[in-house]
Amino acid sequence: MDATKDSAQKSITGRGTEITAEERYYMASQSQLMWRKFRKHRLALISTVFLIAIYFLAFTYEFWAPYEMQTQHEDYLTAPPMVIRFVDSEGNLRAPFVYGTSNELNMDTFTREYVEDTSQIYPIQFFVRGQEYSFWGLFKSDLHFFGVENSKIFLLGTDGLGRDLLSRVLAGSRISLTIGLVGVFLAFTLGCVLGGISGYFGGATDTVIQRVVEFLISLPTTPLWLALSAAVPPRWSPIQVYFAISIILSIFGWAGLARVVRGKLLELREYDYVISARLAGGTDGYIIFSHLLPGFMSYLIVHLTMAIPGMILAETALSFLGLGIRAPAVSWGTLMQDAQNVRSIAIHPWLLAPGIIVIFVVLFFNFIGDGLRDAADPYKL
Amino acid sequence: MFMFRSLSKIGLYAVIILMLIVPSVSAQEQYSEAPMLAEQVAQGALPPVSERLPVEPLVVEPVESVGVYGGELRFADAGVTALWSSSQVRQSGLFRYTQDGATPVLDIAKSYSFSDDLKTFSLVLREGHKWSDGSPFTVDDILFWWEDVANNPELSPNGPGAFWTFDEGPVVFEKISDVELNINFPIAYPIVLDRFGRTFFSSDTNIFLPKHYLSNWHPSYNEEAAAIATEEGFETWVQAFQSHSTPSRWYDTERPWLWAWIPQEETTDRVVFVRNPYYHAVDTEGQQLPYIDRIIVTPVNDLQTLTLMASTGELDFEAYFLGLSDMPVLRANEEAGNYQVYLANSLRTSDLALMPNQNAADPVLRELFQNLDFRRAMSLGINRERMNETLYFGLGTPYPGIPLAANSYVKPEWTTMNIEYNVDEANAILDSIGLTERDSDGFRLRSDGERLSMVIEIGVLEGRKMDACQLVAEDYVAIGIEAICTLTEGSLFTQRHNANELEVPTWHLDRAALFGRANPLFFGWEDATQQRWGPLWAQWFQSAGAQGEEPPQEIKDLEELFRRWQGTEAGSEEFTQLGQQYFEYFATQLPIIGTVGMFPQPLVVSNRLKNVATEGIFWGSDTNFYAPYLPAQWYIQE
Amino acid sequence: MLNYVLRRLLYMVFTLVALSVVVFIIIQLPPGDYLTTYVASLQAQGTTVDDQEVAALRARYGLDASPIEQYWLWITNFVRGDMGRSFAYNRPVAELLADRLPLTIMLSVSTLFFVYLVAIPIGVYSALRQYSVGDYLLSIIGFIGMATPNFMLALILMYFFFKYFGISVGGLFSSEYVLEPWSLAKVWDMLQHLWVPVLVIGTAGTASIIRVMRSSLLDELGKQYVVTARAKGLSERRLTFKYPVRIAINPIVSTIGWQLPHIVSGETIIAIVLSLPTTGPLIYGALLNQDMFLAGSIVMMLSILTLIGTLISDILLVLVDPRISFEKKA
Repeated sequence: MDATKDSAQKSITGRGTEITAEERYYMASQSQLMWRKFRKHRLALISTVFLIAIYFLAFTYEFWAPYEMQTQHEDYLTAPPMVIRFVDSEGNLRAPFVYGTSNELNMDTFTREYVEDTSQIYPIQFFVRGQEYSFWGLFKSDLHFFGVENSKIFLLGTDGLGRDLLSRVLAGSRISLTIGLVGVFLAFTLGCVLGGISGYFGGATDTVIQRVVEFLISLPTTPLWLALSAAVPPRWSPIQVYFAISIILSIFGWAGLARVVRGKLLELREYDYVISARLAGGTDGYIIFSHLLPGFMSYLIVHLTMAIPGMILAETALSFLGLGIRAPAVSWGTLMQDAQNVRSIAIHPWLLAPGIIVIFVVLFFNFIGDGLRDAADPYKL
Repeated sequence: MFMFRSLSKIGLYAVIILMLIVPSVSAQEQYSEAPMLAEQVAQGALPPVSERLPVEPLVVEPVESVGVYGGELRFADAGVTALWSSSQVRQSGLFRYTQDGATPVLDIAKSYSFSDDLKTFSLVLREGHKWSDGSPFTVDDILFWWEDVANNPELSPNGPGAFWTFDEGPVVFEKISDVELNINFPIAYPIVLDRFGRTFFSSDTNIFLPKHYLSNWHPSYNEEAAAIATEEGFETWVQAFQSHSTPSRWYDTERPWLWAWIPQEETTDRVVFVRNPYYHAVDTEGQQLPYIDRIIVTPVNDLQTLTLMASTGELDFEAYFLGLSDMPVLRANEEAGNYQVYLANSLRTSDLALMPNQNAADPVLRELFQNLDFRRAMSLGINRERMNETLYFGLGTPYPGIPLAANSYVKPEWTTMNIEYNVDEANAILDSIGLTERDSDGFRLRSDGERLSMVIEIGVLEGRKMDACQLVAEDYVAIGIEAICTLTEGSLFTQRHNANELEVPTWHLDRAALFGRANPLFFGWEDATQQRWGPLWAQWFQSAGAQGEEPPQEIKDLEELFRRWQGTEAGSEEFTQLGQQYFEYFATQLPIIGTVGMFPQPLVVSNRLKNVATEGIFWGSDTNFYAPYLPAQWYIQE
Repeated sequence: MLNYVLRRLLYMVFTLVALSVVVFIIIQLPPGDYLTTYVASLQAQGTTVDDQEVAALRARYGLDASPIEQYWLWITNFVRGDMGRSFAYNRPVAELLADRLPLTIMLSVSTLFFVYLVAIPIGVYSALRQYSVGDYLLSIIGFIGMATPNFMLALILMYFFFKYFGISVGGLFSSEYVLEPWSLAKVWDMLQHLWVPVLVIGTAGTASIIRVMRSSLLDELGKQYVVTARAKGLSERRLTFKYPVRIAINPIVSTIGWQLPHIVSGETIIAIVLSLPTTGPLIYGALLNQDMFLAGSIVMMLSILTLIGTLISDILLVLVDPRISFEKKA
């Protein structure tokens, strides 16, 4: 579908026989052009690298997490994050290590006070044997990326039950990053197809689709979620619940996109090149997909990359309303829900870490979307 | 954690109470009133204070000192039935429990006595007691509730309720005079006092109603009642009547009340209650209570906001919506927020009590739950010490699923039975009952080859139930049982209970003290909607065999024993004996598996609020929360 | 044009009918009704309710009737302007709405203004100075606003505002002004409280509008007519603001309609956390309580407002961009 615009441009510019640098630019394929452009957007490029890394961590989290996400370390309740050190108390440079800690419950303040014991030095070891886990149910292993011997290491601290927050954040990433992609995809497809039909054909088709869209759009989502949360069968597994809801969300979510597509099409269909295509006998499908869609591809891409983080945020909102993933499954939403209290903000701020990670992931997606937007319009300098 | 005063015979403590109330025969001129009321009296809008008070008002000995008038109590309320908590602050009943939670004392009632056979309960009201609109409050208001509401076939199609219904014959309310009433029961019925002690049950809507006001909507008194209902937009007089008699959220500015503060106005984000000029109590210097002019309630939706408000000193008193886990925040801000946190004793023997549903729909689980060995393994498999340390700062007590140790009928040896953490024994028991096969994840397999898995459902999110359940689930992994904790709050829980879909329902174990006898819930059989471990059996008893499932003989005997115990006089030898026999079942058969209880409840009290009892205090449903604190004698001093 | 508006109004009626059915179904979806919730909450607080009492109450609230009968009763009354009574508040729904709807509308409109006033200039700036430090900085700030979950931001802001500025927690008024009649001081007090929710609700929408504005303007600036105009020596300022900005605003105007439900949804959550006296907490409570007339009527009212918002944005779209014609058919 990109070829049309490409060749149209070529017919205007690519007349010479000698291939100059400029011509190479115009003769490059669409994807080459996009890549060239995308690379210029530094933030987008860096974000892509990070996001790929995060997805990789999510898919193999069992190896990276020092502990099993549910393990309760009873001697380390609400432990603050440990500091990785390179210099010991005597000023010697060492391989990375952490100090041992001891804690005492202060019955006056009702908090656990942790102190580092600078005489206990535990070097961080890599590729250590630890708790056994089942990797995707395929094989069992006890190899972990890092750990310490004879002590524990909690780089993001622990929660009220003494569970390692880093391990839980890593475990939660699998659900949070993958779930909702289905919903976005579905919403995107529905939105483009129905919005396209509506905007292009107009008339009765437009009226019918617009009524449906209008109807769906005018339902405020929060009350809908609330009502649905009570209606979901309690016997469903946490994952079933979320998928069901993300699909429902996408069914309602396509409407917004359809409206945008239609608005754009209303404008585009008056354009000369569309009219020419129609006069030349192009079928409707051909015109929509070959002439119109590429015309606002950039717009769709922006929308899509914003829809994925939207789903991640939706998941946290669902958890806030008491409707997300249910324990024992863990997602960033449930972790944030655990931290959504005055206690965490005032006394245990490290429990807010999942929120910060969500912010970063959402940022990455948006920067990529931004980069793609610019890249999808490759002839603009 | 705390000791009860040993409970003497009812007759005896009634006498003591009567002695404590100094009859105020002093000249009427000695009574004084709040400036805001004095102003109204001067304008002629109100009669003088001596005419508003009963002839013998309740004389209250303030907790610290005689107070000063004025000020506004800053309060917040949250939850589905918003304004419930504040209604409890305002509420007055015939009786209330004392601060130490030991005895019911007089409040609206002037005196009472039992006949020797314990079948007749005689109640005396205060002469000259008036509703908040100035109309007299008399025995007729109680009779109105009994005859025209509780026994009106349209208002109460099924009669006055289980507490007032007997196979042996009807209850007779006998009016002696405007202030004297005899309630004649067909059997010895001393627990009526236990029930009245919980203020809620001896207060407006539950025992008396303003007859002079509500007659307007009642066809026995007003032929126009139906027309009025239509005019007000109701379909039937019943709807109209109930809307006026039991206004939702206890908020109705038209209706007369007996409570210390009455509804005044509601803005978009505050609800205001103002002092009742006819409140029936005075302090020892004859100043009419309450001291505080108004209660300003902020309705809050998110409990965290409420915690934040409490910790920033924006509230004068808060307890119900706080928990032990809020302590670090509350303590850290004490100085900045200009308040103090106190710890009250809890009357709960468990925060999270598991009640394996012996009538569970799943036949395999049902069989297991009916097996004592299995229930023992479930109990031994819980590490209560760790739960106490992790969740309750070690301030709680590991405890089985029985009432408080202070009750005369609880044998001391019960309190430690089957609560030690013993994984090996639990595993041995489970192996011995044939649960030997395990799946690849190490969970035991049931007789039908499925994984042994149970859903522990949390019906109310008070305390730290979800965390406690996570700990139990983790402990159960070690004995090969998969436990899934789910939060099924509110109506859904009730719904699932009624449909008998719960596997291991949970609740906190309160009403575990003597005065819980009138409303024993999980320990009793009266209310099938709240009997969690044998709901179908309870239904069978409640419907006289028409619904539910017929229980085995053992359970029938148990229920019979319960009824006999309910008929004994509190504190008597028979009471202790039958109580011991009855609760032996709970101690040895483990229908309810207790965890950790009796950990303290934080109270936030602002430094400007005075006369709040802070020593030897209780907090809980058993003593009706605020009632023992008698908020009418609180006062504000900046 | 008039024709178009009239036709749209007619469609709106049909939409509303469908909407009322769906709203009612959604409210009825969860098992149980107001009374099961009521009884459950009483149980949680330690009191009991007799079966008999429940039966009597059920009759009183008309919950015995079939859902269809209940729907019919509700909708016929709704059309006549009678929204029924709230069970939980025991007050006419209309009264409750009259209390809270103005504040909801004020908050939503303030937020909408905030979003557009902040987003459009930033979007234009970002497009004109693509890849500049300013572009990056503003993008990042906008994105962080969007990426932060609202409910968490609200609680954190509330905590820190109290801690460091002593601004009281929750509500739209300080306690000393609650009972006061409206005065300048009270309005000032309210404005002090208002900007926190506006900021929190607004941050989410702002970033996406900045993006949309930036990308449409970039699209526009790349078009032939701009290049031509530039070649003809038109000043850069006129070149940008004369047409491209006006045209780029088009998709943004077309989204006003659907910004509203987002704001209303966001407002629901934020108002719950901040305890604002708007319809948000009311609808949350009503749905949890299954206070169906209240829930149904609020959802209907909000939806009607949104539909009107959509209509206005469509009309604006025609006014802003004369290239769109509705009479022509392909």
